[in-house]
Amino acid sequence: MSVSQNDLALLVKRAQAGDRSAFDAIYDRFTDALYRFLYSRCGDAALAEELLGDLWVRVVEHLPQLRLPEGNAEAAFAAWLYRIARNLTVDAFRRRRGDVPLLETISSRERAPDDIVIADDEQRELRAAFAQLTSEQREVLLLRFFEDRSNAEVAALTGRSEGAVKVMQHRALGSLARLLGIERKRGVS
Amino acid sequence: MNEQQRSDLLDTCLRRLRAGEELGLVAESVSREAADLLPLLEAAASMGQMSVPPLSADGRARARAAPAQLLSYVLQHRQACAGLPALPCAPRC
Repeated sequence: MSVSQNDLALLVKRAQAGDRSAFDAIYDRFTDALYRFLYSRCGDAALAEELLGDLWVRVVEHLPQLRLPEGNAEAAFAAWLYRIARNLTVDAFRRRRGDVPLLETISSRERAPDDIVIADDEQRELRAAFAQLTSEQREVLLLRFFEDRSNAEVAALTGRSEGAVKVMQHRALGSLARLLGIERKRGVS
Repeated sequence: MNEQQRSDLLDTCLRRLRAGEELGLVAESVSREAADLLPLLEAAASMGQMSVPPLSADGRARARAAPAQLLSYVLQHRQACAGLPALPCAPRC
């Protein structure tokens, strides 16, 4: 169920007043997208799930102090959530510094059965290439191509200008093309 | 053409593809830059095929449990403090 901007502002106010059902509605609205965002940042499904729990704890802790601007509640609230998510992944990177790089871990439950091994190989290759992008590149690609967000929305969520989002998208797709071995075309017929 | 202009052009091509235009037509309209842009457009198409492992039922339950517990605590604490006069130097409930 989608939540309109006005509804979201109301939900946030109700949640701030201690309405548990409002908090649940906010959770349902954002949790899958936030999980995918966390996954795109850290490349580890188990860690992304762990950080998702931490994220919602921070939301409960800080929601009472949050003040949303009139007329732009959804964008401001989403930007606030994504900022918490980004900070959590930065903290996780710091904690794990010196360990195995986060993006090299692939949880065993991601593996597909043998009968779809070809598709699985392609997915693995794609995820491996995606994992080698910078976290900023991954978050822009995820928001643009998975969440289907506009440049303006990605800019608001990541604290960049629209121009910077486009440049990041360009660089990310260039890196991804190289990592996937997609050759530069020698002219178009 | 500088990087910002190339990025803008790529974005325009992506929007046209999303709107349903064929890759060949889009490439033809940017023929001078097509050699550079086509691999990026292919990479973008690959992104559409990538799957992110879904949030597991267990992970979803765990992600909900911790904040729910905290929320219960906060609400109980708020109710318990509702009748008490606020202390000037203490944080409000």
